[in-house]
Amino acid sequence: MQPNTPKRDYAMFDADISGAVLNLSLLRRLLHWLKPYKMSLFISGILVLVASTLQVLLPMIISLLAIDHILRGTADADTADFGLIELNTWLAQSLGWHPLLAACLLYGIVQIVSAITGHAHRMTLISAVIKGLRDLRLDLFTHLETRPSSFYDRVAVGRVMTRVVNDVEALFELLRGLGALIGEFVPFFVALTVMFAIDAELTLILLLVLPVLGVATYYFRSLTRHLFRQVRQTLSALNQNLQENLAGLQVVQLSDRQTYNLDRYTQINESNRDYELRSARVETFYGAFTDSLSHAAIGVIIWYAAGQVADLSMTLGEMVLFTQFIGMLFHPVVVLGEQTNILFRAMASGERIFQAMDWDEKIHEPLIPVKLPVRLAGEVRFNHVNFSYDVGTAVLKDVSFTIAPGEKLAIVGPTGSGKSTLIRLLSRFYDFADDQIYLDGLDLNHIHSHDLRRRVGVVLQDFHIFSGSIYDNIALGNPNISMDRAVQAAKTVNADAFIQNLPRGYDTVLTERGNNLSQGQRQLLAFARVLAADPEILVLDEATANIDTETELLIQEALLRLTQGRTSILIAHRLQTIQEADRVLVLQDGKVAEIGTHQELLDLQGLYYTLHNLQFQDYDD
Amino acid sequence: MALGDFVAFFMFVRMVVQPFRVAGMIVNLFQRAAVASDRLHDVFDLEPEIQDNPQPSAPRMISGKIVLKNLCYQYPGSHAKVLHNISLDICKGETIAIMGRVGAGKTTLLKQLVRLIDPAPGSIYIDGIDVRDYPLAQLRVQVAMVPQDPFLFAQPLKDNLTYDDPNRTLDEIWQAAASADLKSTIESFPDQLNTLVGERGVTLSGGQKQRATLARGFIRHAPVLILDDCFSAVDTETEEHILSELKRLRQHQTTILVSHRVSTTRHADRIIVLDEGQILEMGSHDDLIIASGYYAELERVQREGAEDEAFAQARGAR
Repeated sequence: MQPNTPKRDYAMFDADISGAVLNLSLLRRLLHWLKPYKMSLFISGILVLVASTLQVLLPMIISLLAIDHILRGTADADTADFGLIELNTWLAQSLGWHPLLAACLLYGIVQIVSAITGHAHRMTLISAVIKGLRDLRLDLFTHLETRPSSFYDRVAVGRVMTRVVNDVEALFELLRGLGALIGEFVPFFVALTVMFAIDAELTLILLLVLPVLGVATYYFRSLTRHLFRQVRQTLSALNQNLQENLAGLQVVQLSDRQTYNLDRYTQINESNRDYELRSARVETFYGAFTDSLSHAAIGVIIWYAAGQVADLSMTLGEMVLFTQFIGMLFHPVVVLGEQTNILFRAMASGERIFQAMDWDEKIHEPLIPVKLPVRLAGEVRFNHVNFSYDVGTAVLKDVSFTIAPGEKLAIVGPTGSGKSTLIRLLSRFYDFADDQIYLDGLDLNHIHSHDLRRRVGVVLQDFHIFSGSIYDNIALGNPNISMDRAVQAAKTVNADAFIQNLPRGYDTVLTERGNNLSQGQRQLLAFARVLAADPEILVLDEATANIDTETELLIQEALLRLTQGRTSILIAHRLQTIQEADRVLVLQDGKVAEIGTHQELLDLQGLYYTLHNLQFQDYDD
Repeated sequence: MALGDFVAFFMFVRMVVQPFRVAGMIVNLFQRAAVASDRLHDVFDLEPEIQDNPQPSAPRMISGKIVLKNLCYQYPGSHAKVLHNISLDICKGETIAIMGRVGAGKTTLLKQLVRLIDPAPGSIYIDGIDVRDYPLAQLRVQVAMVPQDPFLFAQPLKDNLTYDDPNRTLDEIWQAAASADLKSTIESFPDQLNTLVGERGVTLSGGQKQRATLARGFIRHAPVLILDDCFSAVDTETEEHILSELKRLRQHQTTILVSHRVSTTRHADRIIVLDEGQILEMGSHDDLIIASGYYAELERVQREGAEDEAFAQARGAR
């Protein structure tokens, strides 16, 4: 099974996606996550229809019912009134009220019912959207969590996090925006129908204003989109500048850069002010423009209707109704303009999310994994291993060696010689060809990585602390590791003493970066973690950091106990670790240069001899 | 009531109601703004703790002679003294190594030399002038300190190396990089000196970061250079190279460095062992070995490796 690794474009995770096009396939894909909630969405659709129709009825109560029918008695029988007049007459009679009072009651009822249905519409819509996005976020997390570590070697974690947090949030805005648009356009069409029924000619004249408003809105939006982007960019530049200046305050002061940095901050701050001012200017102008436009439209209505009313082809109430509908006619265009920026930004977010979802890089698992015995003997064999991360540059070249069960092998070699890669392959962080690495005679590629990682314990240079208690950090959620077992492991590796000294012992909560532990303590804790898991094979990348001598002694002693009777591969940086190993393997340029015991290699007077003298001359002369 | 009044009335109702709706929102906004403005004032009211002396000494070139006179330090709000009566004369051109366990007061001492924390008046003199009398800008330009935590800005490497003075020449940058053993690392990046550091760019390893901050210190050729445990993530071989560069570059200039490794400190003219804020031992490597105190014990332990007996003796010697 030679894995066929296509060349992947990791750079796309850094690229900016503008989202300038309306991507319908994207919306269709998004619907997949809304499907379980389609009933809620359907109810929400019904509710918005009811609410908007009621909104349209309100001005009709005032104009057609109150003015035309009740006050002037000139109601036009041809005008559709949705049965309002009959309903009101019935209401007035059964209550024994004046018709005008009954109209007021009717107005109140319609208003209240419309408000309630409108609220119910928004709640059902939002809850369906929130639930759908919750599922999406979970799916995204599951997908990202199962990507191999080779993926995270290449892609900045911050970029990936943005996708899970911000981009999903932006999709929420998108779906809510779409909901808002529906809430605007339903009354638009209902009002338009009524208007056509009353006076088609006037309606057509008024509709002529819409393209003007549409074009103006389009230009306004493209102008502000540019300005808003500048505002956002200058703002984030301000943030970044501030963040860096504060985080690196010591360096800033030590380099005496305060004045220079202040100048830079001032510069960005002023350009931010300029863009803010310009966008405010454009914004207020647009507001004034749309207001004037609707007032002009009202003027047109009055001028046109004056003639009509005089020759009785249009009633006064109908004229009032037209002026009231103007808002419903224009508002959707304004809202559409407001929402487009959000829509397009969300479109880009959706694209980024699906890009991550489609990233199928993974470690190939065997179709039929071999069953491992309860306890492995622990023989590890590298059989002519060749490996390269990218096509072209070979990191390991024909590496062959065998470690006997229980043997301790120290690996030394200059930086970049391939030491860490050996470890990564053994823990199957990367895919490699069959017939290269064997564990107790079993091809590593035939073992499922879950099974493998339980048998191979890895201690990396940088011990990662999860936020949680000391115990949590030793057990790592393994239910088989009881508190007793964790304490036992910590005692064996000399970690118990410092843990007992912490305010709450094994229950002390560690911060994520482990600031409350020293380097040496972290190392001991890492030992305790791996010992508690009791793997058959130990892989350790010795930390290079300098640790004070007392802790150093504790660590060396702990290491001795940890490797006792366990097949161990140690990337060693300390002379003592090397001397205590059974054999030493010297790697150079991805090849096995020398292998043998410490003394054998010294006698050989080869590369090991040179390295040894260079690094440890101070101690050995 | 005329019909026109009726229509006008309906239209006016909205205008009358609107201010009340807005008023409700404004009250809410007002409360939030009040909290925000309080917090802003808290920040504005903070006085800078470290300021220029109103009558600073005249600008001058520092030669590098440092005198500590009964230097004591106690962090505000803490009862324990971090440094007790430290007295020390450092000559121009001397290389001093400071050793000591975590919490011995090493960093506190170094920070006072550049006034990242203020020493008591009359306790630290550089070239015979109290450090508190130097204009801050003067002091920090001539006394270069490389702090323990290797902090790099999310900017190109070049800008990071020339952080104190963006007008440095490429020659200077490459030389400093070579001295800090960073040259080949930079050359391995496709964008070389323009490589962006940090999340958007290249993530450097701990050792690479440390070497970058070292280069940032070397490039300044300051009369006094302070290295606060800057070799911890660098392997012994590289450290050896950097130390020999340090020796070559700073032959006649004062250098103060902190380290845990005897292999580092042995090259210094004088070694100071700090313990609980006091000077426990002082002298050259050979002197201290002969004195067979704490330092000699450390040297033996680091040379021979772990043995319980040595551990016990190292404790006893303290």
